[in-house]
Amino acid sequence: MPHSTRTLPDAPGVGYKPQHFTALLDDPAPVAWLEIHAENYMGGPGGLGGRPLAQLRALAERFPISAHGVGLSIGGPAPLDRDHLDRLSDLLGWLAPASFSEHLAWSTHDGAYFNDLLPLPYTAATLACVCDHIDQVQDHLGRRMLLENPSSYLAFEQSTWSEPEFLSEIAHRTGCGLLLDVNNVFVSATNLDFSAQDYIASFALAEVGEIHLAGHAKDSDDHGAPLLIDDHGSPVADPVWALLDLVLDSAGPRPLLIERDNDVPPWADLAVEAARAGAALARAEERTSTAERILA
Amino acid sequence: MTPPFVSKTSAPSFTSSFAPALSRPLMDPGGPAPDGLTDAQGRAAPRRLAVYRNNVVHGLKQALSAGFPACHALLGAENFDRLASVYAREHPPSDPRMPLYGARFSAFLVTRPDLAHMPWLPDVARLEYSLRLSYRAADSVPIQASCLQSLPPEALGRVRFTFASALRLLRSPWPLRQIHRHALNPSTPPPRPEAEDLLITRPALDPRIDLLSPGGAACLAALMRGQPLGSAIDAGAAYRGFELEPLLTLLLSAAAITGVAISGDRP
Repeated sequence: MPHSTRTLPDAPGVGYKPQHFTALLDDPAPVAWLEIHAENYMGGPGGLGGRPLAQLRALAERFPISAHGVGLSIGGPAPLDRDHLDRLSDLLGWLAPASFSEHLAWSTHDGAYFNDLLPLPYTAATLACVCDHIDQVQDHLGRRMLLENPSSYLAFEQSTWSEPEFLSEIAHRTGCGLLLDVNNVFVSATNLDFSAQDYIASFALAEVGEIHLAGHAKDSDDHGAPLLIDDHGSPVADPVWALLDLVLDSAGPRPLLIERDNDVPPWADLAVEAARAGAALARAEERTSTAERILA
Repeated sequence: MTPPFVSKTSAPSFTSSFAPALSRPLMDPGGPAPDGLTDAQGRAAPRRLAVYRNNVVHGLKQALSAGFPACHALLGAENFDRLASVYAREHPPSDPRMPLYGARFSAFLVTRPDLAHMPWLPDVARLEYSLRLSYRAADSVPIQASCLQSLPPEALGRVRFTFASALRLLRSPWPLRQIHRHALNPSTPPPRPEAEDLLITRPALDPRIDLLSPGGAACLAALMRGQPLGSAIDAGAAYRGFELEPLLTLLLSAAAITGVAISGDRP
């Protein structure tokens, strides 16, 4: 039985990069679990083998694994790709990960996969469509999934729901959990000029099964306003760490992931960020237990 | 200029058509931006749409340069980038398995008149894509050499093989392995002008490239089509200097044969 059938611990994890394989098996501290992109472990005809499979098997023996999908296009109007859903089901079947998550976004249209998480308007119609897709995913996979909040660069005039309310309603209707990406909240709040703190206050924190942290890049838009790009290419920014403390104060400790997909640093540098996440969790645990003592 | 009433009436339908409306400008930078996409103040914001477009095109180009490192080295960063942009727009991935992206890159390079001076480049792309597939191909259990030795000699001509899914055969009129090696490591000898038939196998976790002797590719191609060893030998023997034994030794040592059957039996 793979280790990864356990639930994700309320501890730091990292997004797995093959260049860190040896270092991780050698001394993973302070990292207690790993996240993989599901699509990287789907084979062509005949299935996956070789080094990618061998490494994933070795990691799953040692760590709880979170399988993170980037290609289901749950937020798109088109029907879900049944072949892709089957491939996902095969992977989750043998890997038995502690968690499976996907995005409130779309990435496929008319036979083309865009390899990016694209935005959707938040309306009654898109709400019904997303919920229908999540029902299909959870039925097909036979498990609860987590849905992640996106990073946004523009607004849709026709949106009638705020994002936290939209996500909360999806969780309520489908029974799915939520993945709260704190960097995405900060990026979207800056780009669309809303309060990140208000966003967190109205987020369904009780449904959050995992938290993401990542770095972003700074740019500006057509009118000179700041435009942050969620590029996972640098360390987590200080205001995002501060926002994390706010989340953990309200939600209590949760599985906490450091994502780094571009300019991936040596393992030691990522371990330092994971340790900072561990310290934030320890502080949150301390505050929670103090609060419990006072209330008792 | 779009009259305001069109924008108003098109807004409700945009709810269900946001994907097609956004898809077009993603792949066509010169195309019009869709209505209804704004900044927080409700102003049009083409640079914001451009973030998505850049993410898409940059991500696909990055996948191609990581997947075709020798082509990247041979073309240089600027030329590769330009070609990859065109390929990404003309041939976006057809599903989310990015490690498989680029299946048509070689065929795309063939169609480029601006690459006429590099006629070997499509074969280098074919080799790189084959190596990538071999690296990820399903695991298989090879037969042992003793398995062939135990066959009755009179039945050898009727023997058929099955092969590991990591095995690939590439035939090229160019010194493909030498070009590939020299592109990735310029300290290796420059390629000599000669045709090369290549065998890609994966004895353990990494693909290996071997050069096939004359007739080896014709013989192996026949075996891979499911023909019995007798007719495969005939196909190889059409080439001067063909020898069966080195080919079989190579296939066995590279863990490339997964099954043996005598004609009439199921392999």
